[in-house]
Amino acid sequence: MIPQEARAIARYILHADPGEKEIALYGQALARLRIPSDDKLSGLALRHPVLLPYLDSGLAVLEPEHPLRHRIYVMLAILETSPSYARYFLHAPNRWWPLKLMWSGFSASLTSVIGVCIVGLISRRHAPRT
Amino acid sequence: MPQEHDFIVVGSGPSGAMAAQTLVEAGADTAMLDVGFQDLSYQDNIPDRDFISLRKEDSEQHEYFLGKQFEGISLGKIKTGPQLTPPRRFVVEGVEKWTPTVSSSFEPLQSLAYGGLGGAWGLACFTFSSIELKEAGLDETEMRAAYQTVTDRIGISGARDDGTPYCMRELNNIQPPTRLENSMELICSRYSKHAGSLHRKGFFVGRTALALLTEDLGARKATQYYDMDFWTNAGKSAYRPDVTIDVLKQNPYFIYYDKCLVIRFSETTNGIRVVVRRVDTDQEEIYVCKKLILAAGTLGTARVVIRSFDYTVDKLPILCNNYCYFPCLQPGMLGKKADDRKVSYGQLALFYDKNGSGIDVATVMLYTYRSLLSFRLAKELPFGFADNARLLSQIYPSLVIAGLHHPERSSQNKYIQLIRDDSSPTGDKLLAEYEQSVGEMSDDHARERQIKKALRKLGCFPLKRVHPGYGASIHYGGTMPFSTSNDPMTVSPSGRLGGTNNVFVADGSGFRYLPAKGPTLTLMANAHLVAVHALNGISL
Repeated sequence: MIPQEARAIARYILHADPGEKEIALYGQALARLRIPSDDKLSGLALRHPVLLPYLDSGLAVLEPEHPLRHRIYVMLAILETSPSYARYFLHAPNRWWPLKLMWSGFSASLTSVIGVCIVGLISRRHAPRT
Repeated sequence: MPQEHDFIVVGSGPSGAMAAQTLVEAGADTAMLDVGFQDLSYQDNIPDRDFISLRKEDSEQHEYFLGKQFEGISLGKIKTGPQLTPPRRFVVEGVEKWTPTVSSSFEPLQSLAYGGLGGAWGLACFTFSSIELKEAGLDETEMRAAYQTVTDRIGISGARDDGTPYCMRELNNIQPPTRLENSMELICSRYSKHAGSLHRKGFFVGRTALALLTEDLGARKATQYYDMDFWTNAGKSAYRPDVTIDVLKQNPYFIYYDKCLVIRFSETTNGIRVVVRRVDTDQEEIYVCKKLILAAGTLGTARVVIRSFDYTVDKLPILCNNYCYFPCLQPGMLGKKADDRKVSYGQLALFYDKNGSGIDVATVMLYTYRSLLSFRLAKELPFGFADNARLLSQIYPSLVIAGLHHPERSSQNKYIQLIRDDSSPTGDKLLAEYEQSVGEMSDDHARERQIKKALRKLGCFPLKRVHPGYGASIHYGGTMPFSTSNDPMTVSPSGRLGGTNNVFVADGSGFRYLPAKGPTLTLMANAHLVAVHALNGISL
């Protein structure tokens, strides 16, 4: 489960596969930091990784400390501190930066709006009936 | 048999180190009692290279950047001490067990480390102005000389500019300033353009004086601009108190006892008896001296003194500068590359001297952000982590962190109490409460509004306000205010603890006022003076 989860999250963050070392570190970090993995949203995200961007963005607004977000955060930290992925995190000047920045901002905002709707819907569906 | 010495200094932080050095240089038999936790895991494992090349090449960088136990990945909200990277975690080791503190409103940072909180000091050096010294209860003439003594000992680099009246004043023997990175140069250029209007509103920008060498000093080397200052201290270019203690250990007049948590003292006609609990064996030991200098930090010293007076004290006032920071966007740096080689410390400071009086001046330290890694900042942006990381990789050279301290005076809703607790290894715990008055909060907010305007004029646009909680400034004082009354729980102008003959306090406990600037240089200068006063009347 851990390797599958690590690959899904790394592909979401960087569109790249993690190496065996990063996967191992991910498993160790989850155990050490005692991040739970039995929530419904996390299960859904792993069965349907295409939902990860929206769940992450939606939870960033609605529940920033959700365990799924913690696991993505851990993977982000591991990828950033691996020389194989340094280029994704270190700034490289680009003459198209205004367009890239505008697109990044627009895309992030749109994903966030969709994510809030999806997370809200899922939460309502799974809320205890009164 | 108890160990006997002429002087005992408690604590190895900035105050303890300076006091001990003064005593030893005078030829006094000096012992230092200290818990002294050290970093045994990281210091030898971080390569002596710059941040960018390590990021691109070191396959084991996760060990120190994230921690061997992933202790560098902090889940949850921002707390006090984000600059406590894994190699610096030793600064707070053992604190929860040996110095338990309970509070719903105040989260102080305490240390039992070798070098104390000095191990995580941001190196910014500020002298107090004449009026600030007076408000704090310090003698100006003595302090001016003491500041110079400390400057000569530790090595300070800086420049003479509009900020000089607020940080360096008459200090001599200053090394050249650090090389200014490009984003800070841009701020300086904006400042030059708007200097007139900023000055009229009370704003001044200057290069921060830093306890960082730009020229070699003895065995210590000049900084190499590796931007690894939050992780290592290559060449000991940054002054940390352990630099002083390491040298003192070579001196026959000095002996360092570690693993010693000082619990209490008692003064008799035969000397001062100091009771210690060893943190390794939990055994009690006794040390005896003619004169005792307490430099365990404001909170540490308060614990020792309250116990020594048999808990007859109720509440003690506490001073702590209120602190917040503003992550800012600097549009002038968008699309530009940050300098690869730089220092991690704040290189510029913005001073807000509203009335031009030199009192209640707010200080804003300006930092760029890179070497603490962007994943930590990705938590603070409002989008998903992938989007946050992508945005940060594009904009982080244009991020400036503006860290703001407010001045602090005593008030009745800010206090500490030491209450008995049998579950604690020391038999007690510290209760702390901190509540600002409506007037104080209003003043702080008004100040922040003006400062944000000034930041915008300097080309830095605040994105949000982050308040890490009271206690986060890590500037503490005022528990035993300076007084000539000789009452218990006061400190005389010479540093002598009220109600005693030969017990001195060399940390910030006596300060009646905390200006909105780092107090470390002033603490060290005061500690030197206290040691000088303590030397009076003792034959060596």
